[in-house]
Amino acid sequence: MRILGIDTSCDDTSCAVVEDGHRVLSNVVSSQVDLHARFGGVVPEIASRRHMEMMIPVVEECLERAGIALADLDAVAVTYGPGLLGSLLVGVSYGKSLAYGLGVPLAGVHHLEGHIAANFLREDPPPFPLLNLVVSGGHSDLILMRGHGDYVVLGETVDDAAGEVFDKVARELGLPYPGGPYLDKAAELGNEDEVKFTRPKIRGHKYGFSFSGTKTRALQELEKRGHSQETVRDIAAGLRKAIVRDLLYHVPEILVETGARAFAISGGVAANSLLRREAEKLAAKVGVPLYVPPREYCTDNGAMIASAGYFRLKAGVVSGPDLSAEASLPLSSWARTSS
Amino acid sequence: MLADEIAVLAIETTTSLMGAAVVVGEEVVAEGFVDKPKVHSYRLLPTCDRVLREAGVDPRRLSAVAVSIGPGSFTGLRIGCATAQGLAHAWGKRVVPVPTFAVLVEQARKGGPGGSRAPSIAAVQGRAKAQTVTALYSKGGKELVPPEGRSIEEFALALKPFAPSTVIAAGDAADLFAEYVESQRKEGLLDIQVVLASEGDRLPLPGTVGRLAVGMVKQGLSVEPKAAIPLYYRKHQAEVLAARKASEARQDEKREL
Ligand SMILES: [Zn+2]
Repeated sequence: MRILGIDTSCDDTSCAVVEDGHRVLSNVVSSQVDLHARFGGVVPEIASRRHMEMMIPVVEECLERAGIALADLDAVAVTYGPGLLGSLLVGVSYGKSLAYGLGVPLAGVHHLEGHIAANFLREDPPPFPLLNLVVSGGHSDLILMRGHGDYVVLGETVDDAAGEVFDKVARELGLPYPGGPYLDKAAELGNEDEVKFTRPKIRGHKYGFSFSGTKTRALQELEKRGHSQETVRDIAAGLRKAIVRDLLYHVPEILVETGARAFAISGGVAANSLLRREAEKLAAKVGVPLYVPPREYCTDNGAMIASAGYFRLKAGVVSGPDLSAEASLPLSSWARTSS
Repeated sequence: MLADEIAVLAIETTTSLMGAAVVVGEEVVAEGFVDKPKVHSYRLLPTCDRVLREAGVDPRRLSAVAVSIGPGSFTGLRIGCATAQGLAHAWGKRVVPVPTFAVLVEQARKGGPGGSRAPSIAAVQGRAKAQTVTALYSKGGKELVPPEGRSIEEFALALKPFAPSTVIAAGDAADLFAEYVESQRKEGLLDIQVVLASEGDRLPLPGTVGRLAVGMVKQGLSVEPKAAIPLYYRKHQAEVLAARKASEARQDEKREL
């Protein structure tokens, strides 16, 4: 089964053709980084306009690279939320019309389910139950996956997402846009113990995250110490260490408590080198395998959406022509709520 | 339906009124629309499906997919264009990009008796200030004041050379325009009488989009699906600010030199 996966939830126009949920035939991402760089962040109206211009060119390149025609597609999968409403609407409107016009089934995919599915783009899929840490500019979630379509949300951020803090602090440190990867590089050269960050207390959320205090502290230190290269590197290193520590803090305990047979990380921040190293150490210590997608499937992409769509369709969940975009798609609409 | 007749599926989403129509030859064979904000995204494709079924037209038989490309609500425009792109791409058809102001002029021209005396038509779309686009046309469709992103106040000013006269106003911000011009008239500042296009003709209709599209197909005015891009007539505010900043920076540089 060949599925065209589409994601336009933020600033990248992404498409992919994936066979049987795991073999990637092509994966094309039209980045808008240059377009938004001068604004220091994504401008929603500009992003929507660019999606509109790039949609078909990206799909056509995707089909060409896969060596197939539109008529060879068996289904279309598209992200319908959460994300920027105007951007989502372009992908959803185009994707569902394409599916309708081709007479093939449509799968509306939750963006987070897509990030999780990035770890299923391989011949040997992870076992269930699988503990997922999804970290990006928009999310920091711990999700137990008991099977396809069967999720329990164990923890989420009560304020900022981890990737959002990396990007925001990177901007203040004067690093290029988008900041996350540059902060990671700067951190490699810094002294991670020069600036210390205490672990935030989160009331009422056993496995929740909070990063806004950490962000504020990084910015205050910057104010105090100035912008010398050494300081920038040290703050980057200290901040990275703190965020990775907090992200993984409860993971060993949850792995044991839930009897999870594997640990997976995904989302843009899964490309962070310290997070990868620490997650590996942790998994080895607990004795479970660690799954991390290749970098190209960490950031937003169409392949992960095609994969998630495949498993939805296989389970008999088909979206109708009335599928719409949802800027804030509550987790409860697709996952079982945490207990 | 004759085999050589031009048939189009037409889409209209530029205002709170969204819908679709199938037009064959001169005739609107099926039309469905609803004037309700925020339903466009989930109701448009089912409406396309319904009018095609009602018309009994097989998509393979269509000459093209037509879409009202603006000006209008930015979000509405993108829903319409992305839908037209998806359908046309799947069916291997071309897209007829119908200028929304041509649709308004066509409707206002044939409109009720109130407007029959008026020599010109004011097209005013975009209720949000940052999205307002205006233009003035003769009844024959000639551009008197070209379409441009401008406020209602700026538009009223541009109408001064046409006073005294009566103007029919159409588009989703026609009422806001009429109100403003009336206040100007009462103060003796602008001698223009605005007559609102009759309710059924004030907002662009999918059937009119389709009828104009048939004429455009005859003239070869269609594009590849990927070129079905909205006509915004307005840059985004962030871009405007960035451009202003850049030019100010250039000014500063010059001063420093
Ligand atoms: Zn994402």
